[in-house]
Order: sequence, then C-alpha cells, then structure tokens
Amino acid sequence: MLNINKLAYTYPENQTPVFRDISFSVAQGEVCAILGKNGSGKTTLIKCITGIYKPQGGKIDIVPPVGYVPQKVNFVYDMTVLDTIVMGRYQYIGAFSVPKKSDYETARFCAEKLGITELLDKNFSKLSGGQQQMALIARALTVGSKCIIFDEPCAALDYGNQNHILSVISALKESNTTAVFSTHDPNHVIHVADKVLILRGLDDYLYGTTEEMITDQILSDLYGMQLKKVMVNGRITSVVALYD
Amino acid sequence: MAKKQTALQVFLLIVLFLSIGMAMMLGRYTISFEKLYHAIWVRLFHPELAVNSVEYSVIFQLRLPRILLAALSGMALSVSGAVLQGIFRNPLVGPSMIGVSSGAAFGAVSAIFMALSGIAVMACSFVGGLLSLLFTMSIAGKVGSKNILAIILGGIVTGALFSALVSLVTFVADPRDTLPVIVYWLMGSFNGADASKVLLLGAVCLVCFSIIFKSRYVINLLALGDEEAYALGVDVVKLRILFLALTTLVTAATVSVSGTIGWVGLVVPHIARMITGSDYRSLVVTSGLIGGIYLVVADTLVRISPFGEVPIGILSALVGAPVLAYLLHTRKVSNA
Repeated sequence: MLNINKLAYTYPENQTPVFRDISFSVAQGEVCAILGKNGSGKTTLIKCITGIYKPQGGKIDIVPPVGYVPQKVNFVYDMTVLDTIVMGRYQYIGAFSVPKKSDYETARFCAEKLGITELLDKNFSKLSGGQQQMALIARALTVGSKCIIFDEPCAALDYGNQNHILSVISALKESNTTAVFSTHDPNHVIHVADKVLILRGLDDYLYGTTEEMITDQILSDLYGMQLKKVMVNGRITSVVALYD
Repeated sequence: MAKKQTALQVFLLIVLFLSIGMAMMLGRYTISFEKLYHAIWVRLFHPELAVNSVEYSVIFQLRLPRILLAALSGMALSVSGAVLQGIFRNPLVGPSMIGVSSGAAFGAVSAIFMALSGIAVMACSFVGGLLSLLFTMSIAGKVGSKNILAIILGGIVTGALFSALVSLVTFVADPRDTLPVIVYWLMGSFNGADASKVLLLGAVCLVCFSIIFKSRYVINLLALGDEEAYALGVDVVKLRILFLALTTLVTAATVSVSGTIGWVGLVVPHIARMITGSDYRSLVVTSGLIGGIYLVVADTLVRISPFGEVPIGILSALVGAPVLAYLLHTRKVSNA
C-alpha cells in the first residue's frame, strides 16, 4: 500500500516548487499510473516515492523495501545481466559482504519468471532497450518488495516491447504487488492502470479510477490538443491524438 | 566464472612472488638462485650464521625492504585508483586526481625543507594528504555531494594549489642542501627504503585493504551512480566518505615513503579491468596484484639500468603514458 499526504518538493538549486500539496493513495495490488506532460513532475514524484529525493513537506507511507525500475541505467563499467539483477539483493547482502548462492538463486528465479534466462550471461550494455528494461524489472523483483515503482518504463521502446512491459506490470496484480508507473502516453494507462494521477501543473492534479480520469475532455485539456478515446464493445481500446 | 577469477589471482600471486624473487637476485651485485635460497634458509632457520655474509646483508638489509616497499606501493596506488574510478564512475580518475598526491607531497616537502626526517616526513605527508582531501571536499560543497564532477573539479583545483605550494618550497629551498633532496624525493624512489617504512606502509595497507576487500562489492553499486545506488538501498554518502578516507590514507602513506609515483593508480586498474572485467569483487584484488608486480619489475629495471638509477616516477610515467594512450586508442578504456 502507498499513501501520500500533502507532499511538497522543491529542487534545492531551484526556488520554484515542483509540487506543494499532492495527496493520493494506492491500495495493495493496485496499479497506479502517473500521467502528465513532459516536465510535469512525474519523475520527481517517482524519485520522492523511492526515497531518492527527500521531500520538504508531507508524508509518504510505504512499506520498505521498495523495488525501483529506472527509465534507463548508464553503466560506466559493464556487468553481466545476472550480476545486474543480483544487485537488487543489496539490502540483504549489505555493504561488507558479497552476494551468496541464495541471492543468485533468487536472481535466476526472477529472471525465469520474466522469461529472460537466456540473457543472464550476456553483458547488460549489449542488450536491446526492451531487454534492458526486463533485466531492470527482474532486478526490482529480487528486492522482494510488495511495491514496485517504474519511471517511464515504456519510454523509447517499440510497440511490441511496450506491450510486453505493460503486461509484466499488469501481471504484478496476481502476486498482490502494488505498481506505480509514470508515463506521458494515455495508451499505456488504459490497459493496465486501476488508478490514475494526472499532473496538470503546480498543485493542479486529478486522481481517480482510470474510467473517471481517461476522458476526452481531461486528456485534451492536459495536452492542449484534441484527444479522443476509441471505444470497442463499450471498452476503451486506445486514445488517438487528432493532429491539426 | 568465480573459479576462473580465483585461478587468475593465484597465478598473479605466483608471478608477484617470482618477480620479488627475481628482484632479490638482480642488481649491481648479482646473487645466484642457490645463494638466495641459502640466505633465506639461514634467515629462517639459523639467523646466528648470517652475521658476516655479504649476500645476507644485500638481500635482507638492502634489497628486501626496497622490494617490499615497491610491491606495497604498487598495490596501494593501484587499489586506490581502482576504488576511486569506481566511486567517481570515471575511468580517468587516479589518486592524483583528487589532490591527495599533491597534498601529501607538499606535506613531505615542507618537512624536508624544515630539515625534518624519518617519521616526521611521513607524518607531515599524512597531514598534507588529509588536508588536501578536506580542501577538495570543501570546494565540492559537501562530502558525498551528488555532483561527482564537483568533487573531481575540486580535486583538480586542490592538486593545482598544492603543486604550486610544492614549487614554492622548491624555489626557496637551499640549492646546496635541501633542494637536491626535495627534487629527488619528488621524482619518486624506493632508494631510501628501510624496515620502518615497510612496517608503516604495511600496517596502513593491512588495515585499509582489509576494509576495502570486505566492502569491495558495494563499489559495483556506487559505480551505477548516486541515484541508482541510493534506490537499491546503498548509503551513498557514508560509503563514499569511507572509501575516500581509505584511499587517502593509503595514498598519503605511499607518497610519504616513496615520493610521488604517478600513473600507477591510473593505468594499472585499466589493465586489470581488461583482464578480469569490471566486477570489483575481482578487480580490486587483481589491480593490487598487478600494481605490486608492476612496481617491483619497474624498480628492478631502475636498479639495473646502465644509465644509473633513474627515479622510478620517471620510468612509471614513461611506461604509463604510452600504455594509457594505447588503451584509449583501442577504446578499451571505455569498453572495459
């Protein structure tokens, strides 16, 4: 479960706050999408939830440890996929030890769950964007958390890989794991998310179920252009942008 | 994979012992294997027989302290370089880059200028190294700053400042007395090695290497970057302070006993990374062993050089710079 109450964050080097008063709550096993334009504060909010940034105000209730899947990682020194995944076990390994056999077993188990066993001996930097994302998800799974946070998990991926990543996020519900992910594309939201937080500007946000939030009006206002839901058999199948 | 790494480390350890053995035999006074073996046997089992033996004196009073000092210095500088390259996520960082070498050099040069010697030079060098680290950190803003570049820039500024201070001391030093000592010391040499220096550096290395060895895995995570490491649960600030303190300590201790020997801490970790990969669990050990071998061999070459004894700092730079240029040219530095 994730509870956020009156969260406020301003970058130390910048006087303009990113947000001053955001509150929302995600139940255990729910998937929550954070939707907003570029620069709306999605990544900042994600980093506050994961503890990377220290908010100046408000409260975040989340049961540690938290799994985190960054948008991308930039390895200066390359590692194998297996060694990358096993890093997720750090909280159990500690600063003055090395991963044990059981940590590697957990890493292999998580990789198997995601169907990436054949990648384990490859170097991480040699993987495609989609494969890297899968390896990072496996790393977050090894944390053994009941809550996994994704920062723009589908950014720069092709449709097939986007679909694959979204189905992995959706499958987390089966293990009653809470998932929070950020995106700027409403199409990512409609198939996966139970709840949506829409960041529209400073202290201007909407929060509710996907059905409530994904309306033509809200989306068109958010992006400053016309967007339309496409419904098939009473179910939203996609959101299309009507370019000028 | 782990077995392969262990086999490699055992092989390097054997090479290190062999190079130490060779170094004990080679020099102006060549000692045969039989005589070396006999001297070691006497030393271990019948020390009372050794009083008047020339070989015994050459091996145990002249060569062994010097060779051990070279091996320890090579290990210390290489391990420091490898650790710094990890925690700063920059393969072009070495102990000199954070200003510690210059600070330690300033401390030692000041001590020599004031006609101090022995342990006082070492103490001043330590203090200089620590001062330079504090200076670097105060320039960078705060210890554990999220901006790694700020620390590296702080190190460059500190290094430049202390180098200028070293030049100032050199400029005002008495050309008939202290100046030659300072200049020779600055070029780096194991010429003045003795048991007390070996013990000092050995003790510092033992303590610092033990802690680095225990915590070497977390350097893999620090090398991911602050945010990544923090999200995985790493206490980035505390661990960076720990590693900076340890590398400063071993670097300052090395500089205090052997002068400034550049390039080892920069080049050796690259060579190690090419052989063993980027995993710090093996990289730290491999770097240390290769660094030890590198300086033992380099110091032996210096001793048997037909041109007289060239300071090892010069030889190290003459070898290190082209090697790094080659690695950069073949892009093995960035791809390792």
